[in-house]
Order: sequence, then C-alpha cells, then structure tokens
Amino acid sequence: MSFWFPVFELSRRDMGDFFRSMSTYVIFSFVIFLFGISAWYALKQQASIFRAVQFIFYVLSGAMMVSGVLLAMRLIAEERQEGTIELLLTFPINELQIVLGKFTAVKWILLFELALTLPISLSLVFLAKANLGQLLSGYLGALLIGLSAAAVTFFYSAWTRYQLLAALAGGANVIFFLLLGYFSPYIDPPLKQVLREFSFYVHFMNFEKGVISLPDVVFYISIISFYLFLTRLALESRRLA
Amino acid sequence: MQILNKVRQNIPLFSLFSLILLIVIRQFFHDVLYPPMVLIFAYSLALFYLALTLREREKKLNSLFFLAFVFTFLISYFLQNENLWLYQTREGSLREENTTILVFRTIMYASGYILVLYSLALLGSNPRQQPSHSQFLRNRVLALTVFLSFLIALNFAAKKRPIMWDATFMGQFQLSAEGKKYISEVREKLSITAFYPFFHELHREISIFLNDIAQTNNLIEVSLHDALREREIALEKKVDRNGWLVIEKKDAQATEVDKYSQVRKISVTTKDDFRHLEADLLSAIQALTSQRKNIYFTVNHGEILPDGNIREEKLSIFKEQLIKNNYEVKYLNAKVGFPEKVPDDAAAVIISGPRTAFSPAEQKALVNYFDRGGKFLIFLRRHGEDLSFLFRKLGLRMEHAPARSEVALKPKSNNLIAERYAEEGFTRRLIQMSEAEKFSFFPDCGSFTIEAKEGIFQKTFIFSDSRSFVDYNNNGKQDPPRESLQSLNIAVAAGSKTENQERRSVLAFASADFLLDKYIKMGQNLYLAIGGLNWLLEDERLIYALEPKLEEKPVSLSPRQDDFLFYSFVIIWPMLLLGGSFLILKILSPKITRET
Repeated sequence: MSFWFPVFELSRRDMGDFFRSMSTYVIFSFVIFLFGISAWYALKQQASIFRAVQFIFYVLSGAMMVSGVLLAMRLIAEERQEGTIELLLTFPINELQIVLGKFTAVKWILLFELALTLPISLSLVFLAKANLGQLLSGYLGALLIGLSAAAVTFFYSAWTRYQLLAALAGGANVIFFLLLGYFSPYIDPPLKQVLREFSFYVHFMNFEKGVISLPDVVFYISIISFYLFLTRLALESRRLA
Repeated sequence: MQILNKVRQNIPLFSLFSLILLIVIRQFFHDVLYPPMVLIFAYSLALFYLALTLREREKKLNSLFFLAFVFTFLISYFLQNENLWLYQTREGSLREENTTILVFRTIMYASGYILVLYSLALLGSNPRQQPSHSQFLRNRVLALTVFLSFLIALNFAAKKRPIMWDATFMGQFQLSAEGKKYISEVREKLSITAFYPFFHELHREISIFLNDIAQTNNLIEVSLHDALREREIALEKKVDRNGWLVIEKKDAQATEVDKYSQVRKISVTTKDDFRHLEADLLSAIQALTSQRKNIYFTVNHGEILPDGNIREEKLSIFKEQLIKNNYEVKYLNAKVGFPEKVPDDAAAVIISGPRTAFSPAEQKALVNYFDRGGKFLIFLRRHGEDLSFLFRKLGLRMEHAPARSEVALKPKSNNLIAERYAEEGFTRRLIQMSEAEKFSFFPDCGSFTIEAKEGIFQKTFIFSDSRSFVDYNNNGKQDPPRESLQSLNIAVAAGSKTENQERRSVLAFASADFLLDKYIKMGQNLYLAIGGLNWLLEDERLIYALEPKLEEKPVSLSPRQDDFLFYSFVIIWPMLLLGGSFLILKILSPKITRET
C-alpha cells in the first residue's frame, strides 16, 4: 500500500462528508454572496477596475479565512465527538497520513469554493476588462490565506471535541495574526518589522494588487506546514496517552 | 561501541549541538576554503547514512529521505546561484577557476546544513522504538525546533531574494525592461530611502518597486521608513513629511559640499505621481551617476529660447526636461567664445527656430564644429533661416512652402498631425503605441527634401499622412500636378557614413513651434524632442524614453450590465446554490445516509 493511498481515501471520505453537510453549502453561498456584492459595489465606487479587483479580493480574503476556519473546525473535533477517532487511529495509517488526508479534503473544498466564484470573475473580465493576471494572483492569495486559516483551526480541532471551541480558538489565532499587521506601524523598529512579517494580511497585499511574490507564498506555506506539523504532534501525543 | 550506542540513542540532541559547533567552526575559519567545507559535508553525509540505516525497515520513509536529498540539492543550487550573482555584480566577472570553486563550496555548505536539518527533523519526530513520555517530549521539542529553524531559514532565503511576478498590465509595480537594463548597468553605490508609512496608500507600490530595483542591482540599497515615527532618519535625510524618496550616492571620499550635490529627492504622493516614478527615479539615478552634458542654444537670430521673455514663445518645459535628463543648458554667445569657435565641452548645439541668417563667422564656427564631430538638434521655421550652409553638405533642403494636409488640425491646414514613424532609433517605441497615443503635432509645418550624397547617411524619422501636399503657391488648396498628394518628410537625420559606421550629426524638424510650452505636451512632442536628442548623442539609455505606467480609468457599466451583475451574482447565484443544495439534501438525504 503506497503512502498516498490512505491519504487519498481519507480525503475522499471527508470530502463526501463535507458535500453531504448543509453547512458547507451555507458557507459556499456566503462566500459567493460576499464576492458578488463586493464586485457589484466596487465597480460602482472604485476609481478603476484595478482598484475594484483589489477591493474584491480584499473582501474575498476575509471570506476565505472565515470559511477556512468553519470548514476545518470539524476535521478532528467531529471525529472525537462521534467517537470515531479511536477507530481511525486503529487503522494502519500514521498521523501524518491522517493530517494530510483531512487537510487535502479541506484544500479541495476551498478550491471548489473559489471555482464557484469564477463566473463572477469572468463577468468582470468581459464587462469591465479586468486583468486576468491580477485575478489569478488574487485567487492564489485567497486560496493560500484560506488554507492557512484552515491549518490553524485544524490544530485546535485536534485538541478539543467541541467544534465551536475549535472554531473560536482558530478564529482568535487568525485574528491575532491579522492584528499583528495592523498594530505593527505603532511599534518601534526592529520589533515592528518582525511583527509585520507574521501578519496574514500584509502578505496578502501583494496578491490583491496582482503581484505574486515568492516570500509571501513561502510565508503561507510555512504557516500551513508548521500548523500541520503541530496537529500531527497533537495526534501523536493522543496515541501515546 | 558504547559511545556509538550512546550517540544512536540521543541522536537528535547530539546532532543539534554538533551542528551549532560546526557553524561556529565555519565562522572561525571563514577565510579557509576546504577544511570546514569537507567537515560539514562529511558530517552531514554520516548523519544522513545513520538516519537511513536506522530506518531501513521503513521503505516509504527512506524514499522520502531521498526526495529530501534531491530537494536539498535544489535549494543549494538556488543559494549558490544567488551567491554567484552577488559576486558577479560586486566584483565584476569572476575568473573561471574561482567560479567553479565558489559553486562547489556553496553547494557543499548549503547541502551539509540542510541535510543535517532534514535528518534531525525526521529522526527526531519518528523514533523507531516506542519512547518513554520524557523521551517523546524531548524528541518532539527538538523536532519542532529543527522544523521551525528550517521554516525560518526558508523564509529568510525567500526574503533575501524576493522573486516577484507582476501580473498586472504593463508590470505596473516593476521596472520596465529598459529600466531594468539601465539599473543593472549602474556601477556606483547608491541608496534609496523612501518615507512611506505602512498605512500610506502608496506604501505597497513603492515597496514592490524598490524591491525590484534592489534585486536588479545589489549596489543599490533601499529602505522604507516612517518620517513621523523615525525622526532621526528623517532629519538626517532632511525630510519633514512622508511621501519622499531620497536618492543618494554613497561616496566615502566625498566632502560635505560634494555630498550636497550627491542627493536627489523625488516627491510621490499620489497615484498619478506613481505612474511617472520610474522615469523620475531613473532620471535622478542618471543625474547622480553620470556626468552632465552641456547643451548650447544658439542666440541672437530670433530663436525661441528656454528663458524667452514672451510668455507664448518659451521652451521652459523643454528646458526642464533637458535638466531632468542630466543636460546643462547653456547659450552660445560671446561669453563662451562664440563665434570664434563652439566650446569643446558642447555635447550638442540646439538651433531652435532662427529667423535671421547666421553671420559668416558664425557659419564658419558651426561648420568647424560639425567637422570636428559636433551634433546639431535643429527646429526650423518655414519663414526663418534654412541653414543651407550646413544642410547642403548633408543633401538636405528645407521647403519653405507650407506642408498641408486634409487631416490637419483645424483651423489651419498646415498644423500637421503625424502618426507615421520610421521603425528605428527613438521612434521605434512609438510604432507600438495605440493610434490615440502615438500622434505628434507640428504647427505651421514645412517639409524636407532629401538628395542622396556620397559618404552621407540620411534618414526620415517622421512622415506626414499620405494626403499631405506642399502648397507651393500658398493658396491653401492642392493644385495638381505639381502639388501631388504624398507623405512628406517632417523630421530627418543625417551624418557621415563609412563602411562600418554611421556618425549621427544632425536631427532636424520642419517645425519649431512644436517645442513651445503650449504645444510640447501634445501627443508625443516632448518625447520626440528629448528622445531625438538622446538618439543624436547615441545615449539611448537615457530615460525620457520611459512612458508612464497605465492610467487608471473609472469603470463605466451600462444599467443593463449593472443589473445583470447585481441580480445574477448577488441574488440568483447564491440563492440557487443554497436552494438547490437544500432540496437535494432534503430529498436525497435518507438515501445518502443509508448508502453511507
């Protein structure tokens, strides 16, 4: 059995769970509604299509963080609540495979969610001549920020059996990362630069402007892999207990 | 054997400490090439081998190790490339043998450190034997530390060489290809200090732009500050508010007086200012890094002058742009020894619309200057001096009769609008522009005729439209057959020619009014004047050629399009998804649950 087979199977199972849950569709509708209304509003209010797309992705980044938190809160907490975590841990798969499998499911759900907003983006291209490059960059940033929020919440989901608690803790952690950027201007250097580097939104600013930058991509990937690593440790400690 | 067992039991801890020790050794023997390099690489390989043997039963993990090994070398390659790049720009091109050593050494160091980190992470996080609680905790803390260090190192490396892809139209936040080429050729140390706080609306734009400059040439240091919170830096740079860029030449031997002239400041406070930033910044860099060239205007023949007394007849905008392009504007008068001779320091002579003839002595001095390799930028009036003493040598002749066209700018039919340019030299970029942008305007325009001459090259840069004609009898109408419809030569260039080389000597325009303040900002007039001078002086790196970044225009949607957007994507699409999923889940839910 290859390393990736259980990962694939687990992600398929979790994706099925997501698609059978009404809450997933509520999240999808919420994101599409926000994306649609921000597009409609921005085209009226912003000075140019460039600024409009920037504003739309600013809103989408927030929506993706919220949906990342809401989707990831159930990943392990639900298994614990329903008592299936013990069953899962008895399967011949290790913690890394569990973490990767479950996170892959969230990744596909978030990608699907972004795909649902494509008709709106295409309308922006045809009606207002939006730049495809800026849209592509915005989508990449939105996916990465959503996945980062999901990874953070995934970690808390591994610690508690209450989904709400996982969501609150994950949300608080994400907000903390956001606030670092907002408060950094009021702090003196060199701490200012350090705090700014940890901010979720500061790293998203290039994406919304249509600039894909390696340090920003590396930052999000680092946050995701760090929290997945922590989640794995949390699961391992449970097995040990 | 006991020691080896001890090491095996505590491998993560042992490795971490020895890694730190290696780094210290590396720093201590900084100038020694081989021993630390070999030591680090051998150590890392040994550790890697140990990791593999400890995990020989876990085939999948071994394959992960090998993947890690490949990844390690890729990262090393990336790092060594950067290192080489730094050396190349700092010290010129390296000798080949040094290059090989550098590449090899950097690969060894980088591979060594990263291999150790990998081995530590995998060994520490997955012990083969079931550990005790304390061992488990210790291993996890170590694994976490190593993993975190790896992530920090990765972020640091990415930050150090922040590769960016600007996906916007025209690469709005990055240097253009010409700008990049120019910046990469700068050989002097410069610093750019920008005062843009985090919440400034241009903070991000400026930051990306400056990053691109720093990446293009590592002799240029860039930094961003807040003038209100970082008062010391602001005072040092003599800046009292945000929105300034201070460009300084870093010359250790400069006196206080020199330092004063080695600073340029640019104010960029609005988005419109930002569109011109590249041109302004590169002009400032050029002014700091190259010598100013002297440009002499001829006087006393009724010319239009930069500082003319008549408001309507001034070239102040042209002069301002000349200064921005690092030219020193001077006048060709008795003070500089004219008409005995044209000063030797003259990079070019500008003759802007003389009305009266040059005296024989002046003609002689100008022809002498021409023979010495001098350059002339000439703007002629229809009713003025035709410079035949100079043009005859080049096979050029100014036609005094007005050039008229059916598509001229009314009310005068000799206010020509040109949209056709030769595809070479400074006009090449105009050809790529849209119809709406590329035009230039020539009020009261004449034309040139060209006669081929041995040893002389002649080029027409700007043509009028094909419905133009020379109105010889000046009656405002076309009278065939003499006044046939044709494209007329509005701007021509000429110079001497040998088998291998062309020497650019003269660039002449058949209108002087197009330089006037009131016309020069129309279409591409200003670009043609400055770009033409740069071309003449064979210094096409000069920056005025850079066009401003894309202008932002508001989006205008028709009411139908607006309604379409609102109803389709704010109401129908989300409701459809929500309602559809609700119906499907409610109807199919029991069935799905049973199947599950």
